[in-house]
Amino acid sequence: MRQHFSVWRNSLICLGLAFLILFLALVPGIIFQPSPSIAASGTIRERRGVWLTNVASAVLFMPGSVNHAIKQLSTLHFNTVYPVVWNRGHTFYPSRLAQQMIGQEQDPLLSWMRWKSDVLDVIVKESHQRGLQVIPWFEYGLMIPKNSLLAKEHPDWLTQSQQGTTNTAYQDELGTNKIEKSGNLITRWRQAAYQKRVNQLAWLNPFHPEVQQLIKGLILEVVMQYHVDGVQLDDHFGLPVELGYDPLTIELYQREHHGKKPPNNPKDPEWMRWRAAKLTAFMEDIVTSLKLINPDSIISLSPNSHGFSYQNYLQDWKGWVRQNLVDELVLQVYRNDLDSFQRELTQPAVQFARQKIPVSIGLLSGTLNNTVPIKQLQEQVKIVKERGFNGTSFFYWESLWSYFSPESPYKRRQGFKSMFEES
Amino acid sequence: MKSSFSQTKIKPFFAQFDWLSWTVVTLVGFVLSLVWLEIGEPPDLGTLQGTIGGTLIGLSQALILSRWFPQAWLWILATLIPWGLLAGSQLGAIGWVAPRTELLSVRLTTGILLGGITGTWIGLWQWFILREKFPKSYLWIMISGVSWAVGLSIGWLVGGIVRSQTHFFLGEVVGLGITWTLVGLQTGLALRLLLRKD
Repeated sequence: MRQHFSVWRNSLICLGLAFLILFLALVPGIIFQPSPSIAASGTIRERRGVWLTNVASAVLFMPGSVNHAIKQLSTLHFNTVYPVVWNRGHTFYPSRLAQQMIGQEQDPLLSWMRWKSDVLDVIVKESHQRGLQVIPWFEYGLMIPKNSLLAKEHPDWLTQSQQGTTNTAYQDELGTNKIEKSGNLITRWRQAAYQKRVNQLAWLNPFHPEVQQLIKGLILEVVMQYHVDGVQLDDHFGLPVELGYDPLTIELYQREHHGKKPPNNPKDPEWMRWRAAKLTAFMEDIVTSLKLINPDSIISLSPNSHGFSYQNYLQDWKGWVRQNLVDELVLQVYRNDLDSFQRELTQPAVQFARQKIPVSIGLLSGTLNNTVPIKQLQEQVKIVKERGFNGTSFFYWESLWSYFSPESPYKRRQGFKSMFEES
Repeated sequence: MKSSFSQTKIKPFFAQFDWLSWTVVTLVGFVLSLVWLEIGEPPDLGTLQGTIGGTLIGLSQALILSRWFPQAWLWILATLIPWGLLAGSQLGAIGWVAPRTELLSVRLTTGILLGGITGTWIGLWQWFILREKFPKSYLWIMISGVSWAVGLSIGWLVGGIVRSQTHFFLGEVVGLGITWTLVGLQTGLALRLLLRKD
């Protein structure tokens, strides 16, 4: 009995000593850290942003992670976060509208991991306290997984191809969904998993009144419910060119074309123009309503190159810029090749947009399928600065300086620090 | 004259030293340390990080040793002090860093060399605690040196291979996990033999 007591007492002394040492080692850093800078909002001269997503990332789910991330971003002179609020048919904030129309208040995993706490509220408060702007990002736009609750509950909200299927081959501007035969086993397995996932995607019909009510309603809800600096739509706020052959769209088209059916060729220029114009009208409706609620709210758009966006997703963002539907453009230029990267920056649509609104460049800092060395990012940021763009934003948080990067987190942070220190 | 330390020695609660638990807690200590520490390259981690890492490894192992020795808390000090000093030196916190080179042959050889130095240094400090626990306790210094030479070279080698195949720095973390497992395994088996002799 006495022996048992000694063992326990011995263990307790060890634990006590270890905690004391850790306390002494860590607490001074926490207590004596410099006080955070205050209040972000206002005009930002150079956008230095980061997307926070829920895919292949734990940042939204682990308690304390977003606070830690925002603190690090602030230290390294970032000034904007784009937290995901809509992905795979779920919201990432408690939404009354989502509860009503989808049947789930927010992403179930998020609710479970964070005990139903409001992660967007945490992000907004922490970011503003540290001088960062918050522009919630509707990542999936009109895209949803075929097996999502939303797709199952409302199959009539999905648009269709000519063959009547709701999913279509996912067009990736970089072609990263193609399996490289030369890659090693791990790379091929990762690409196969990615391809399987993207082939299970369906698209909400942007011309369906209830779809419009949902998407517009969610955007307005975010702006009304939180002190955000704006909202962002991306390349998924579009319609794959093969789709639009659902009964509702056909009826709409016939009504405006004396009963004539849409052409069999999905790439027929007039049929493309008609659908793109309808999408633009929906965008116009969203922007008008949003500006009525908060005229200062930034409408940010992060599309692919204009040619790709229009030809594949009927997203005529050049027209949107012309019609003043976009306040800020964050062009995704996810290129590894520097020549191709530079070519994208000189495209006529980009030059046109730069004359009207701030244009910054979205850079790929890495994904699980495509890691990006810090040297490449430094070169790209240098080019962007030299050409006088309004900043850079990085996709995505987890690949900035985590173990899922090619270099050590320390080395990556040093790299980012040197990029923005001179600004 | 025997010191009061050895006079108050607790009769082993377990018949034999539990090398498996020792290995597991050593690895757990390393994994736990990753909550506070980020794996980096030699200059990235300093005295503070080495001390934190050493404390957690020392604590994990002391919990096993507490079944054998009174004042096992001294093991924590005998682990954190050399780790803290090592991390502040030119060598760095070897147990939490990856080499800068991708060359596997260089990783292997520097792993043997630096592992040997690290293990001998840590072993020397720990020997102060073990010296009156069993005869020929000085062997511990040598055992620690060899364990680290083997563990670090294999860990850095595996880390390099995994990193080059995945293009993730995570490969180095996996490699160091193997290092700590091998070090735990070798030192645990050695302690089983040494304590049996006692």
